[in-house]
Amino acid sequence: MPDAPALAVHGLTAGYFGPPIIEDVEFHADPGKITALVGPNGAGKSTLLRAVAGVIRPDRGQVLLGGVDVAGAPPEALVRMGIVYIPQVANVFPGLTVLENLEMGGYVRARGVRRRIAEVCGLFPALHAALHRPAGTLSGGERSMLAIARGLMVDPWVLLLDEPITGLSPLLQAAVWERIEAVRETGVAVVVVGQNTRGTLAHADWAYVMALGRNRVEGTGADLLQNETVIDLYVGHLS
Amino acid sequence: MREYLIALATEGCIFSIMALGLNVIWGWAGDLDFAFYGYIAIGAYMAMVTSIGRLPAPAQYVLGWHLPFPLAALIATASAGLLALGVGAIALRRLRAVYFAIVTLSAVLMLQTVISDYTPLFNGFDGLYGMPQPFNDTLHLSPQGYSLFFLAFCALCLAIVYVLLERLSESPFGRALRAVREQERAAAAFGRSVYALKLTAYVIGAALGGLGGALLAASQGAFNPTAWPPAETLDLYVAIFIGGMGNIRGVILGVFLVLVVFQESTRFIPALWGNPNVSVAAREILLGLMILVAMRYRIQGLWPERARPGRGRTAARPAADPRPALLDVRGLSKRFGGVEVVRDCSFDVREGTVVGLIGPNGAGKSTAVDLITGFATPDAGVVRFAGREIQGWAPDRIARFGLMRTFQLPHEWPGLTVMENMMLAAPARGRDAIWRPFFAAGALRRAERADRERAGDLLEKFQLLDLRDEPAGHLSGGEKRLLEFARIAMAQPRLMILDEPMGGVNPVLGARLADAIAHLVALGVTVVIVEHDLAFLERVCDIVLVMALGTVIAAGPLAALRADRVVIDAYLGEAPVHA
Amino acid sequence: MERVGLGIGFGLVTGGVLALSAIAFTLQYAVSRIPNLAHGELLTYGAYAGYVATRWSHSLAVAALAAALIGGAIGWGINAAMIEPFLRARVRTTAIFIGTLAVSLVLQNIILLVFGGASLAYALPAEDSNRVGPFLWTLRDEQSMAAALVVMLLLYVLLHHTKFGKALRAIADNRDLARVSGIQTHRIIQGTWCLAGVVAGFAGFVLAVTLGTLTPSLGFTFLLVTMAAAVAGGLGRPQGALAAALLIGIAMEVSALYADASYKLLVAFALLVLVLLVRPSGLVAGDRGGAVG
Repeated sequence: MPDAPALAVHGLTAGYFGPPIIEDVEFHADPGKITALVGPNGAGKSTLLRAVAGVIRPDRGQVLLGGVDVAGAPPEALVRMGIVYIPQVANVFPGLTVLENLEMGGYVRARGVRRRIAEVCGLFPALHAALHRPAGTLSGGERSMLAIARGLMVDPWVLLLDEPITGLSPLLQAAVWERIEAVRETGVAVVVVGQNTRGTLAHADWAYVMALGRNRVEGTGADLLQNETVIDLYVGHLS
Repeated sequence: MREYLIALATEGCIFSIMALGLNVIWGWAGDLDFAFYGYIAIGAYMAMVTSIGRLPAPAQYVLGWHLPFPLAALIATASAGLLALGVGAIALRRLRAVYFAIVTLSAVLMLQTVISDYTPLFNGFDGLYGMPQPFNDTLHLSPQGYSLFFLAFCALCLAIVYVLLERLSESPFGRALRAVREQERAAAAFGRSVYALKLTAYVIGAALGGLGGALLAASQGAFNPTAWPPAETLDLYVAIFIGGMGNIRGVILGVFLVLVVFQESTRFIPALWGNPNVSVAAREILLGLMILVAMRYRIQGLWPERARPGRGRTAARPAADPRPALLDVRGLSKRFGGVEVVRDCSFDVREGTVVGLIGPNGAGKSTAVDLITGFATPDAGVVRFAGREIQGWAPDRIARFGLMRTFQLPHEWPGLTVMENMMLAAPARGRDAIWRPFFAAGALRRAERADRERAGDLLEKFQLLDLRDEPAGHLSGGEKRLLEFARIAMAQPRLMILDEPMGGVNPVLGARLADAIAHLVALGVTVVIVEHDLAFLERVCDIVLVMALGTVIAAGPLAALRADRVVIDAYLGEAPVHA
Repeated sequence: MERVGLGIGFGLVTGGVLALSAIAFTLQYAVSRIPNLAHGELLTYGAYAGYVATRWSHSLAVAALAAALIGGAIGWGINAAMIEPFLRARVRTTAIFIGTLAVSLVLQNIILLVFGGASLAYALPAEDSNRVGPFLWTLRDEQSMAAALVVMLLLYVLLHHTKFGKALRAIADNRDLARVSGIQTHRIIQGTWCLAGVVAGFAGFVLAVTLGTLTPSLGFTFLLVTMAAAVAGGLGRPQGALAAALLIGIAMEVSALYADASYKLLVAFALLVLVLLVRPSGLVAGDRGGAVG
């Protein structure tokens, strides 16, 4: 009997000012699984994450967290409910130390911050050595890990990762993927938007391919890697 | 009563001239200038020291000439302009509004300190007095007669300033200035030097302030540092705010409303609690509240800047003859914060061809465009255009040289009409110079008429003609994109780079845009199109370049590239080794 | 050379108060990104509140407290009544900037209305100056420097060892990221304005005691030097504001010993222009994007 999805999105339509960037998008993310969102440029993958995270307000649609519709709630509230968003850039506080970044990640926790920091550092040992360095001095890979670690501080149900490995060297990418898989093992529903399509699909348990703001194809990562339609979406005719 | 009204009207005329000067700086150029009071003060002082002759000791000051008023006023105006040149040159270097405001505030305070404390300059804190009434040593009028004459004189000055500014406002200079205020990047992209335009506006505005100061000194007969504290400059701002920023008539209306009606009416507030400060304080408080309300609810003012009418039709089309590489890029590189966004990028574009530039996100396409067009400086590499090396040039210089670009998001000038947007895009050829509307008016008119006809023709081709008098900010997203194309067509560059013109548009609009671009291509211009819509590129492009990870990895006709393994890998990314 | 030593001594006293004012200004800028031209009025109201409290209670400590509380209330009020509502109504930043000038006008004239324009004097007993090394200080000078030092230390502890302070620095770094971390940015920003008001109010009180007189424009004239220090130190950076304030304070006082005292302001601004020309982002280096901390 499969777990109920931690996150289920139905008919989500959202944009900035003007016409919507994403329309009628559907997807769900199961706990303990990596769900990927891929697609060519302009597909609206980042916009989708932002709409789910409350950074932008959806025009219509549902965002069900454990069955409760939270669409339109502000990000501060969503964090309390267990949805955490890790942006692609500007995802750490450069003027604060690593430790302070983690503390801010745990801002909404009433207690147990110290304990949680220790647990999170267990998942990301590289951060342990850098606890008192300003986050602005971290390397790219360390920064990505800190960004994710910060998000884990509240013990989220759903972790939304916007291109966590883009801009990193292949070695670092492998290291970060390894950590993401470790996070998955703790039961979090991990949603990843990836620029490197093949790489992202290779790590995904389930994936959605989007184009021009809408769903196109879905399937397991392995299946989609072989799928001709997917290739067409990138280099062929878009209809 | 009559005397009171005459004095009021005279005050209104003088303040109107000052406000119009401030309007050039703030309403037209959009710069928040706190130094304006300084230019008024300099104008007043210079007018005095050149016309009061020698006063008895202990008064000490420079010059001490005894020139007739028109000459004194001229010197006053020029002095203010010169001071503004110095202050503006420093303050406008970093074009951020906050720093500009703080530097100008510092400048005016320094000026005030120097004037108040360095007595040999303008008699320090006591100020100067004894300014002769302009023209009265030849006219010998009675006091009542003279006050009427002086009012007429001030009104005449105001009328002249009004006419000159109206002319300037309608001219290419005025238009270019407003373009800079509305959308600076686009102004640079169309060849305008933002710094030069703003500095010119600053000097003109300050000079008018100086003129106002000279008239103020003449009307009061004396001037000292307490005569007009810097807080009064705020009154001028309010006048412009409430009257309507940018609009000359609105500014004059604002002055009479705020400075005259409002000020004078609050003079009748009785002194409460025996406190003589009440009326002053009450007035200032009401003024402050008025500003806050105006800002919150009615920010365009009573008489907003109106659109200028557009006319014109018919055609004119340039031709192009194919020649070797018009644009040659070699080894272009750029790092942003440790990441090499563009890496040894090389390609060339032949004149008369249409080249597509594609590649996945993060390939560095937009950065490459910024580097080539001067909106970013390359770390290494050479960009050769029409035989000259242009890397490191400012974007407006590159644009004037014939290499122009559009932006991913429409960069229209929202407060200007569609027709004005087009007129601004026309090749400038020195037409912005401020002397043209006065000394070469005929030639300017003819050139503008020709431009208007060409603009009308282009607008028709892009199906925007019926929107020509609409402020561009009111257009829909799709119409704004079409305007981007019409504008760059108007500019007639030798090579244009279109940056993701179809980005995120729906198919219906997409078809219209595709036609618009095809039309541009048909004009014979060399075009580079950065795009993701491959179906469209297949239609218009001769060859396509593929960029990935900061460099060009393939080039050729699109059909061949589609099947190319290298290209597919670039788009889909690499599978991890242990997959 | 002895003169320079004296000048530095006086400069430290001026610089201390200036540092408090500049740090308050820069903290509030760090979270709201709008320079507050009504900042001077926080000092003025603090000064007047302190004066009234002194007359009423004859205790400088009570007066200091009153000054801080009034300053805090006004700081909170400016943000709650004007800045936040205008931001929500999407008024442009430069327009809000002018709005703070309007607020300054209103506040200054309320004082004028209530207290009149004449300067009020603190009837404090005259003091002897003591020699401390190359410096010449009165007891009051030493007390004001000590007070400034204590406040700055408290601020440092607040910013680096409390949840509020860290959240403040986080918002200054990246407001959006703060929101998605669950930080209630609205509350922290309100708190920051209140804090800035408390510090500035206290600084105004100390300033008035040091000068011995108060006028309605006390704060406004000090605003200009405050902005000079804050901008020179790099807007949003408290350490920069501190460094710049001390530098400017010392420069002003040293110059006053050689040239006419009324040129002090001039020196301050000449320094500001110099710094901006040479280092446009301010004295304190560090382009890591970190604004506060």
